[in-house]
Amino acid sequence: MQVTRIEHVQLAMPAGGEDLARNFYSGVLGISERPKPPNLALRGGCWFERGDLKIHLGVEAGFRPARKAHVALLVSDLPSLQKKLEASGYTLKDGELLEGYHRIYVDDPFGNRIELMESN
Amino acid sequence: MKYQFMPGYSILAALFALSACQKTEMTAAPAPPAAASAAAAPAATIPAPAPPIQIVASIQDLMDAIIDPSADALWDSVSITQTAKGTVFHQPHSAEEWQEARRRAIALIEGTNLLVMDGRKLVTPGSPVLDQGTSGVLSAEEGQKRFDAQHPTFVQFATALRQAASLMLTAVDKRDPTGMMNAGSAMDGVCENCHLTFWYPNQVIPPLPAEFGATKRIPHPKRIPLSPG
Repeated sequence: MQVTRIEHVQLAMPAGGEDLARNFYSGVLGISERPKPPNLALRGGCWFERGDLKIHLGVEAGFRPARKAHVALLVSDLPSLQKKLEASGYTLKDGELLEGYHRIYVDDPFGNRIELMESN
Repeated sequence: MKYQFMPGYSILAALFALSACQKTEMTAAPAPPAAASAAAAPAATIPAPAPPIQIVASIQDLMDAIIDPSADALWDSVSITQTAKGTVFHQPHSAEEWQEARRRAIALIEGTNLLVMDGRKLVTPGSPVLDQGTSGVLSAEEGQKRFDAQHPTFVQFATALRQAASLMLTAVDKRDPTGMMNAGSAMDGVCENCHLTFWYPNQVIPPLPAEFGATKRIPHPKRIPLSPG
């Protein structure tokens, strides 16, 4: 047996947060929304996918944002994305030095910590 | 993005189609057994029986006339709003308000049965999608092609909507606003994902403007300068 790779990651969000999720993950990060299958659509939430990049947002009762645990996304042209995030009102936080990367942190609309990295 | 069409236009179109009371290309009912009756009597003296089911409206018409108004009424019937003065709860109170919610849930549940009838087109042939031209929206022809190719998926979405609407009816009958909120969320999830599949799969969502939140940078002492660009 061998675990081979990550198929997708799922982040939690509160009920009714789909439009906010769309604005951040699709509108700002540019990851298109993929329709959920009918049997899963009843649960709410939304999926954002482009190729192997798959981030699923699921509704969780009693939601609490992930402040420490996070997803790190590799991006191209981090400075442009940084400007886009700032123009959209997001608060950015620089990451500690990590050899080989520029990186910043941003909270998604629900307070989930997201790391954005670009190799230098 | 919720379902929004030009209601006046569509309702008039639907009423015209109903009043015309004639078969269209969408008619799916089987032909009457003409051969048997022809053998028994001259065809001119025995009118062919009317088909028991006749498809008149398109999916788009049903959305405009039944599904969307019913869902909107249910979504609007219960809400929690945060205001400067505090939290405002909105829900049905009177017997008539509860009855109206029940009527809307029934219309929505039964409307899903109409959606899945064989032979119904996505849009009346020759007509455009009413918001055609909006970014990401398929043309009537593109939508019909996708609808035909993925009809089982459409049926699954309609079935899921019926399940969600049935949860809504149960909540209404229990006079349970929280249950209505939950059912409303389920309805919204099904609607949105079905629309994303068959209506506007290519939508592009613009980022929110900055006024939705203050831009604030928190520098880290060991910040690595980003290259310009």
